Amino acid sequence: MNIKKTVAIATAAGALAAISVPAMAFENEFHGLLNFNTTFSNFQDGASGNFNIAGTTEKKMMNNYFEQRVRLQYIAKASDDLKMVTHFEINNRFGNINTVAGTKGAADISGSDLDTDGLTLVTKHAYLDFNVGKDFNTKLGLMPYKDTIKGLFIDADIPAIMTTTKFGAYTLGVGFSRLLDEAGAAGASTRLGGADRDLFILDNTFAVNKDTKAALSYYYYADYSATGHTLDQDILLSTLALSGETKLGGLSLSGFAAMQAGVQKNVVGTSSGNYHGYAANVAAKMAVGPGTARTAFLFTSGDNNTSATSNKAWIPSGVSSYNEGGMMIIARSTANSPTSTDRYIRRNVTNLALLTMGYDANLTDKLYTNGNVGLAWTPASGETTHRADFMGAELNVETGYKLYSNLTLKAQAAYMVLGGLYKNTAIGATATPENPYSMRLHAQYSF
Amino acid sequence: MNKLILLLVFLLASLINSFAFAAPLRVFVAEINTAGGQSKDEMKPMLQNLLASRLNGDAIAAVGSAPEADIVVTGTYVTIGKIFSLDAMAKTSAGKILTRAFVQGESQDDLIPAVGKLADKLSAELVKMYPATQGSPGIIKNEQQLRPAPVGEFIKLSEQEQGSVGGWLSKRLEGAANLIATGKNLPDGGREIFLAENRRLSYYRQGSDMNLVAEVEMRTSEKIISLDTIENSDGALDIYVTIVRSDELASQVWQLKGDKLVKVLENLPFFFRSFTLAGAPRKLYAQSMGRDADFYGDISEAIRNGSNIILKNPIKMPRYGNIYNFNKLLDRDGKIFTVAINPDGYLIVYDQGLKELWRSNDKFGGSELFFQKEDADVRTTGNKFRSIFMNQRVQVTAKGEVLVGKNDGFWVMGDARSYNKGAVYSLVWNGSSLDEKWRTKDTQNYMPDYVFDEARNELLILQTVQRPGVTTRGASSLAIKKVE
Repeated sequence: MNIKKTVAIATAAGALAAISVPAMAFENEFHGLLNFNTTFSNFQDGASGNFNIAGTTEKKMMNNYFEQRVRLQYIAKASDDLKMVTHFEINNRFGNINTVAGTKGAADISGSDLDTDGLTLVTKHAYLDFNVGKDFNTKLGLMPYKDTIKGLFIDADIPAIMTTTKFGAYTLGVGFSRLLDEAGAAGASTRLGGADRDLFILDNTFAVNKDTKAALSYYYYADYSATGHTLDQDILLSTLALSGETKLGGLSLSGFAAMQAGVQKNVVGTSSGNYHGYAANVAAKMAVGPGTARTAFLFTSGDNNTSATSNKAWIPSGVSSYNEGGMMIIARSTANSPTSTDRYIRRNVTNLALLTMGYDANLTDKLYTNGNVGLAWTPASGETTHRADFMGAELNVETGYKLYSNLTLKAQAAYMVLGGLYKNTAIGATATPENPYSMRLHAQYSF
Repeated sequence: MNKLILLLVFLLASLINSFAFAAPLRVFVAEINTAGGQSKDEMKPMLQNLLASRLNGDAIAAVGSAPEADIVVTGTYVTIGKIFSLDAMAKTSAGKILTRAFVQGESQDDLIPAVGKLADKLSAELVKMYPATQGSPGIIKNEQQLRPAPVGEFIKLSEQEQGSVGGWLSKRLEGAANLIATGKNLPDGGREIFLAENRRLSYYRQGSDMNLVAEVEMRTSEKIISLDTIENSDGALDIYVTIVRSDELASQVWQLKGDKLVKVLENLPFFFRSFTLAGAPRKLYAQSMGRDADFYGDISEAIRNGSNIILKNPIKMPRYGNIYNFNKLLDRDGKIFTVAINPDGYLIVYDQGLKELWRSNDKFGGSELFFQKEDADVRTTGNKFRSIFMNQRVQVTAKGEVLVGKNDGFWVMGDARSYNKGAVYSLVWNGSSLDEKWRTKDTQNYMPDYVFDEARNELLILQTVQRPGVTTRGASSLAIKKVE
């Protein structure tokens, strides 16, 4: 090929590239984070789920491990009214060889041990976000969703179709999510859409004025995939929730009240079971001195009914949270689950009455200290045979230093004095399990 | 032929050289102090103008502010009975006294001729001291003949090189300031300047240099996100410091009492901004914060009545508009348009119905200043706090020019922002789009804020010359540039 032809082809390619550029501005937006922490704890173990104290050993060995989580978010904005959001995650525990899938000894796909190349990238979010006009928004895909009651029912990443319509101060959110499809599972129909767990979402939010807003939500949880598919044991559960937030002088107040009513077919033989759950919360915070003082109370009902036909527990969707109290041991506070470790006594927040008090202090521009105290009771003491309701008291402290505007180094410590509920509940029922504790050192970078 | 071109180039260079040395001496006449007699306040600007216009001539150019002058003339006017005396003193910009002169008269009828005589006396003395300014041959005989070369501050689209005029640059100022506001003009031609860091409010007097007079520090839980000044009904200067504390607005009003900053009001739940809406006289405006909306509802004019803030005349915001990133402009027919910077940095012009008419192809704005609210989706972001970034303010002059700042940087991604150069752009609405009229030369550093002093036709550009470190406050500098 002679030089003239090469130049001609290069010119043509350049011209083609130039005319291929869209007329409207295309924006690339990136966000990301890296959280690293080392943990010293007698109950946290790098995994997720409830920490069931009763039935554990009296003495526990301390786990020590190092974890990290990287998240990368890329948003492709075609215009002000159309964007695609993608979010990826990489989780590692140092030395672990089975982080992602498989069992110990299986092919190394964790990328966390010697010679760290491995398959560790997972998808967190992938959805389309577009507006039709200025008041109607739609999101389609795998997205984050949190309910209007501080995450007590659902705070999760879900595959969903969500619409939001604004009528002045009133906002209507309508959504549908398919949380599970068990088509083809043992005993289930192979028809797609026949053995599902679906969630219907209706959020009505009204901004009364600049200082007050209220929300009335209805969540309909329809589980056609329940318990093995050999019997029609569908769960149909309605959750109605009223929540509000206001400011009185310097005091910010928020709270909610929610009730659940539902039915499960054939729960005992041919009898149906009923659900009657409750949850309520009130919280206050106020600027005091160099920081913020806060207090909150949460109640979620437990099932204290011996009859299987009536369940009085608050039933979350399976992934819920309660960030308000800032607990590190008692209830799931997502701020305290920066990596794969997501272990709490109530990771699934139910059957809990929790009173918390805390203070977040800014000691200097860069140095801060937060402290929280939580007292927990269990409304239905079914988890142990002991008659006491007091679960215990948690005390936690966090001190951080903002080394740069995007990098924070922090240390956390949490200790819980177990209450009467867990007395003599260690294996053998003659001793009380050791009090749970956790100490962590973090480096947290985000952009 | 080549020799001819060389000759022409040489002659042209010589001509330019001689013009450079033929520049007139720049003199600023400061406000004349008055004592005795009546109508003292009226006399001050009158005498100042009279003397300035009589000094102005071939050898002397009367300029509008001290920073751009070689010599500053101050004076006093004293009346005892019918007799008056007008005394003047000329100083260099460094403060060295060059000469004094006076005239006196026996009645007010003699005043105007006396000002003329005083100007003649001063001119004669000054010209004697600065002979090089009278167009002497281009041979430098002494240091006084040297004058700094004009720095290219402005690049006009049509006159790439000819828009250059002199500028003024402060010394290094301790603390990386995010915000600047100007106060009153001082009698010596200087001005009051206020700077704000994250938690510190500083008061400077700007004359030949920036002198720190007073500073106060806020609580560790408070962050300053806006700094604005306006004269209240008593004529005193109110300094509005918009502060976010524990998720909520807790703004404050300060005043100068002598050389001290004194807090007048606190815990005001408003964002404040004083600006010239559509080039109209400067007013104070306020907006609230909502439970969900960071900037809630309409913007209103705000008037302080003692400890109360009274809101009136609400203004509807267009999509993306908030109190800090919007303004209005009038076209030639008197039609009003709204202009705002959207979150991606594009400048958008809206019609009377707040429908989008036009948006820029270039990005504007950009600020590293932010406040935080504790309502982030921490499960997704890993951070309890959501950062809301401020933006460059859109200013509109009485002539209808739209001024907007623009910062650029290599590492500007998500919430990580590190700009390294900035400029101020002047744009004019031509009926269908905003045309660029001029822009300043890029700063060498991040430009956190700027102020346009329309009365003096000067741009005050704040720069961060050093970012705050682990143990340091960082540093700033202030550049003042004359707008042609």
